[in-house]
Amino acid sequence: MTHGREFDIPGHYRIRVRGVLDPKWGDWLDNLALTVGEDETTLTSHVQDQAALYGLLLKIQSLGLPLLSVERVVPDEDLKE
Amino acid sequence: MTVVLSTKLSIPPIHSELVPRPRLIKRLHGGRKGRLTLVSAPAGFGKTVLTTSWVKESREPVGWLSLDKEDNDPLRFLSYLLRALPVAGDTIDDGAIDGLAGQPPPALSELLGKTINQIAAHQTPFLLVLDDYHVIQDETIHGLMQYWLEHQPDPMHLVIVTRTDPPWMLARLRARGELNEVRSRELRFTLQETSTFLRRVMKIDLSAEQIASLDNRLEGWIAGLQLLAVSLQGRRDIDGFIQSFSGSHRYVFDYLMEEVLQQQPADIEDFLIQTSILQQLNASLCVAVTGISDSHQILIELEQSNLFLLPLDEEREWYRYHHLFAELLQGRLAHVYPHKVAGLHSRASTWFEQHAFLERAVIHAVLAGNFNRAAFLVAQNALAMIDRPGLKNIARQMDALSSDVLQRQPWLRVALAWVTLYLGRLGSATLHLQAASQALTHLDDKRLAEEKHIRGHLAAVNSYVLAFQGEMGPAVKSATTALDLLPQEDGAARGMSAMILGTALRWQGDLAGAEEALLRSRAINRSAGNNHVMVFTECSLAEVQIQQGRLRQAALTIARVLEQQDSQQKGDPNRRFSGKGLAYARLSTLELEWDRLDAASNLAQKGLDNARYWGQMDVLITCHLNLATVLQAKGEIEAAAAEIERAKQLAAAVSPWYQAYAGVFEAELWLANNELDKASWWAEKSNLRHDDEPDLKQISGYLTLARVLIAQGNPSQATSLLARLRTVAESSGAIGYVIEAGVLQAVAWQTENEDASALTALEKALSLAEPEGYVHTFIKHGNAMAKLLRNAVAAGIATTYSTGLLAALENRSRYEVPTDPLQLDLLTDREMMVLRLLATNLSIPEIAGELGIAPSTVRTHVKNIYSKLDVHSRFEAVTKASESKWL
Repeated sequence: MTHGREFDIPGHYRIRVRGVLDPKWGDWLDNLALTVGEDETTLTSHVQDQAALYGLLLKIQSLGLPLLSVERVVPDEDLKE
Repeated sequence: MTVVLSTKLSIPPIHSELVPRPRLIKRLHGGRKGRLTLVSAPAGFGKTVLTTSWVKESREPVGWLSLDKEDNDPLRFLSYLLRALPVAGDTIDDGAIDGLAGQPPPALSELLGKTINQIAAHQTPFLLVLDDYHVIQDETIHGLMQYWLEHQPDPMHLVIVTRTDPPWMLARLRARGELNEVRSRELRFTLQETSTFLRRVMKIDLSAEQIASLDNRLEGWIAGLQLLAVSLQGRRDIDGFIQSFSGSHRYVFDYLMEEVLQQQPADIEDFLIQTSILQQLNASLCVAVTGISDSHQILIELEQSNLFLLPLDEEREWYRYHHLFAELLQGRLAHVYPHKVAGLHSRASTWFEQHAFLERAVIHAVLAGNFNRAAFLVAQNALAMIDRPGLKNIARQMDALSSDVLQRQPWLRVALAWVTLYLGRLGSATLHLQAASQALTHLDDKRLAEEKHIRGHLAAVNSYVLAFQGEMGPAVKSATTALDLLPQEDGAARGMSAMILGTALRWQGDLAGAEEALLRSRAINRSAGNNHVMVFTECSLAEVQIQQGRLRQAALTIARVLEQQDSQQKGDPNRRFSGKGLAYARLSTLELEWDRLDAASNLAQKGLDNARYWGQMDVLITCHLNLATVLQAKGEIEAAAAEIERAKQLAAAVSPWYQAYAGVFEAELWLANNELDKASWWAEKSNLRHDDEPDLKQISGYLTLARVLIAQGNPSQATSLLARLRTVAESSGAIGYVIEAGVLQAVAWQTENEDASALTALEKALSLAEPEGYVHTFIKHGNAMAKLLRNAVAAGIATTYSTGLLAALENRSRYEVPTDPLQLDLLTDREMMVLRLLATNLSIPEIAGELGIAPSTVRTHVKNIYSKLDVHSRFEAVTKASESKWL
């Protein structure tokens, strides 16, 4: 098992927040795909590495949306962008 | 003077009527007894408003510091922090703050310690508020704050307002009852408060059910409530609105902002969206960016209508948007006018440049995608970059971007050439020079003036490189070319070129020419307001004066430039001057000559600390060598040897010429320590021979050679060499060297028992030296000189002076300083080197680069250092090492 290198390459993260976000937020948040549920939004992002992920989380924080979950999607899974 | 400074330190004005929150105020008062109050909640919870209300009610003095991203530099942060302390002016002396400039990190905690003691003695309790602490991400700062909290004196209470909990050991404080917290749970508006806000403050008439419905949706989130209130005003179908709003799950702010913006007249909406790119705005800037001439009126209206425009000062000149609002507006901008964004940033960049807000100008240029302009701004101020760490970081960031387009920007190459040059990396500098030349061939034909300007910079960099390599003639040529090519407006580069020209001429022995060039540089620097270039010029001038035997004038020159730097710095904590290290070193040389060893020692150390913090290579090497000389005079041979070793290591990485230069100092040390075989070896290895026709460039080498010859028992070879040296020195007006050569001649003749000749030579030297009070040049020769001086007194030659020198000589021999008893061999040499680099603000990869090893190796060393010193952080390690005087 490689120690950290696998996190230096782009990976997919699925982030869920409380509240319904308009799709245009996808742009501001740096090209994310948004899917909305009843009172939550799922953001799917292709982040470069850990630093990029934290940067994204900070942006989400600045909107004041409660964070529900952050999940790493293993790279070889099939994802729609 | 930038407006930013004043707004950072003032308590934000309260801009509208507020809902009274007595329960929270009471809670805040209740926690006053402890050390820390933490107001921590996400954006839009009314933290700052609450804190402002609290402190305004408070009867004790309050200090306020509004933090921003740029405060992530420890020195800048501390500088502002100290200035923000509201304790009566005379307690925290300005000297403490100014003294922060150029201090290495270990000194920071020392200063904190001093400040803490001063506060403790002060008695009057006070508050200090740090607003927006979440922008701080620098580990050193977190470390300093942790230290501060642990040692905070009683009179002070710290208030932190932040969106994220600071990474300190809060649990500990909590357990001891020292921590008072106000968090989102407390900050949310209660139903009652929501009701008060809507009915009393916003004067919107709503039923209890309607309010309850809104409260349910908003959950007391204040920012949302404010926006809601604005969107309700003047609306007719309130009930319909409330119902659809409450029923929606859409992101509250988003929903409401759409509503609010739709209600605005088109021009206001445009104004809002376009100005959202600005971190801070004033009327003039808005006009420049939007082209809307009545921007001033709009700003006033916006503030009054409570649309999230916050005034930053009482004069209502500067404003900013509430963070959330700005972010949303920016999102809207990107959506609605994506093609306009670059233009807006460009106009902002221009305005900032015209008003001398350089960092903002660069940031906006980058955001506009105009990398060439950004690189140009950076390069134009490349020389000032050392004074403004912000720009240096931007340059580093630009370098890291490394897209092909970016790399071909000639201005960026120029900037990088200057930076690498300052770091002594001649190889890199030369590569950047070549790349820049290459890039020029791709430049548009129409940009001739710009091309000339760039070539001027390249010539200036080149002259510095050549000087570093000891190629003084070519350096003079290149510097002259630079002055021909550089336009009048580029005062920084012109001042620098004239300075290099003067210094190169000085090395060549043309003291008159050097003085002329340096005075020219001085004039340019004065009118351009160059800072560290000014220090270099004045130091070079002082060096000319020293060589001319005008010691007092030299001291005056340096004192003046230091005073001027200090007074300029008082006004702006954001400026720190690297060249100061060099000034201290020169002053130290003078104090040494005047036999004031303690002063010489302190100044040498101060200079070295300053130089080390900045890492500018030639200043650093000079300071190491200077300290070595002082230590040698104090008899601390081992310590002196260590300094020379360090200087040699650094010099070796620069150029062979520099290395040879450091080698001379080493030879002098060996002679002082009676290691004649080593000194002889040096003489053999050097290209200097006793029958050479010496030149001024290598005069110190020749003087040392003469000393070696004397020690080897070849006094006649020495005296004839010295006679030739004297002639050269005399014809150049280098009286300082004439004196030194004369003294050596006297010593040489003495060993041959040629008393008469010795006395004659000594007499000449004494008569030249007496008016300027030379001491060290004579008494460093110890017993040989003692005998000569006694003869002089007996012969009635300069009796007062000679007697004084004899007394000084006796005093010197009793000068013994105990060596540091601590285990100097606790760390390996390599670990010691890493530890010293840890004390600068270099990152691990940068340290690895310095040492030519892998970052992982550095980390291993760091781990070992921590365990040997029994510490757990970089900050602790450096502090401990400096306390033990290892650094």
